[in-house]
Amino acid sequence: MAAVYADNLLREMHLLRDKYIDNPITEVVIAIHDALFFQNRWIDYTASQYLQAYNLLSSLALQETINNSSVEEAIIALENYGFNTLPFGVQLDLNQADSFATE
Amino acid sequence: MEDKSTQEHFLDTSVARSLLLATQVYKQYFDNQFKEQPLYISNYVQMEIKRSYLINLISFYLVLRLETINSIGDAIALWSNKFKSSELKAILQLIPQLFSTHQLNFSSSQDKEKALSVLAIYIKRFELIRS
Repeated sequence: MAAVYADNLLREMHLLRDKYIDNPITEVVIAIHDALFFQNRWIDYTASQYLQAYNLLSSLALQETINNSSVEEAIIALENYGFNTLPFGVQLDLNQADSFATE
Repeated sequence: MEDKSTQEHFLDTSVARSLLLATQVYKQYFDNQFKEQPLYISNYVQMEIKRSYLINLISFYLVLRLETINSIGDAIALWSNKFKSSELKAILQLIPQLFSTHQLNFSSSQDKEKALSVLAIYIKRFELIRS
């Protein structure tokens, strides 16, 4: 049953991304999306974390104007709630920066 | 008497990079090691990470935005031919993870625009959280 909810949530998030990409709240939604749906990590988050994310989005949506700083504060709040909004793993070449410096 | 239970850590480049960019399991390892202890990172290390990762991402974004590029696949092909392997490596690791999570089609011209938006938002978020 949870998987059905998660799939519905994923579809709604993609709809927002595709239709309202310029809306500032979409940026926050995409941050949640990346935290939840990279490698199906939605399974690992707790009910209280989902509630915190819900309350955050609700309060953001109720604001008269959503500016850049309120979006940034919301994303940092998500990180503080334990959402990993940058879940993608990348292995950098350790000598890469040095090679840039010598170019 | 001074409380010695809280240790402070000044991270070198190898640990900072892993903490910021490594896979979940590796990050969790470091999180367990450091727990709630204060971590510090020098401006130089931050700059180094930006140079080695963020600039490549922005470059890839600009490649993807070219009018002659019709799809994500085209951008990856051009990037592969144009840039040396070390620059290629980080992009080739991130792009499939990011765009697959968003279920984007690498051959679709419509999904190119979505990919541009998703990548721009990711770059902004990386700059916000990792700075």
